[in-house]
Amino acid sequence: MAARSGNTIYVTIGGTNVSAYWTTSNLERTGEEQDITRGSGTTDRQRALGLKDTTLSLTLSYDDSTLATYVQKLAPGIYEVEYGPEGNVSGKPRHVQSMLLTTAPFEVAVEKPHSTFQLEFVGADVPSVDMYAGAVYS
Amino acid sequence: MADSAFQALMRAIRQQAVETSELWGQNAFPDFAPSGIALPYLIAFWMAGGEANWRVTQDADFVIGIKVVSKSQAEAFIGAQRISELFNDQGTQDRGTNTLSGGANWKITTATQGQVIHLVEQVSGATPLYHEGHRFAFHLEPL
Repeated sequence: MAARSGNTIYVTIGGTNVSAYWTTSNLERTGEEQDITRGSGTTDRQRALGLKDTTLSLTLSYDDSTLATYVQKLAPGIYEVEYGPEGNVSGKPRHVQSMLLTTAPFEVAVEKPHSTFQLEFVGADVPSVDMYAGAVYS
Repeated sequence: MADSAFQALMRAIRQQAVETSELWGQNAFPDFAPSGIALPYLIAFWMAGGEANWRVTQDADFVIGIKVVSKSQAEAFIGAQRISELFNDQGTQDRGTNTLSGGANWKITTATQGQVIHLVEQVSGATPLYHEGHRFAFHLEPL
């Protein structure tokens, strides 16, 4: 047992493995809040879980020699995204979900910083493989 | 066995410094000059850097100081300007046309000039030595 700090991320977009270009990621599952407060004399607000959602922020390096192999997956659209925060090794968490890529800007500057694409995904459907439900690689 | 990024970079700097006729001739050295070497000479020395961690594969960022040491302040300044011409923006992704060669295992993608190096060395009983040059930031990726 150890606190996780590794970077053996596995990530694919529409079947294209972009793990080699990965630099940061933030997968977030959210639950919509529904106010169901009711009853005379109620003193405290009551809430229930509404629709669940997923967002994924992903930063990918701009590679000057292999960009053509993955740039088509950086255009806005719906893709099946697979995400393994500990790689795609048997027994490790696995998340697969159809997601809408809304934007993927990249910036270059005169100071020559590392050029990266900043991808923003939102869920397009229920996860087909849900790591939050305990799904792992077989 | 592959060479290290630092080794490849220092070799590239030396090659670039002596490939054409310069005021320091062939006297371009890493870290310090051999005892008794004639002035002026060029020194390249590590200031900062190592693994860049831009990606999960190996890469490197270094800040290297490159300077001319001369008895003449005017000559040292001329040498500093020549250093700028030889190294600034001479990475493979830069706009320069005299690209630095990282050798068989590395490519030097960017070379970026930074702050000035300016030092007047007081030598007892002798003419002061003028150190003029620049800091350069280099980024390297494996081939």
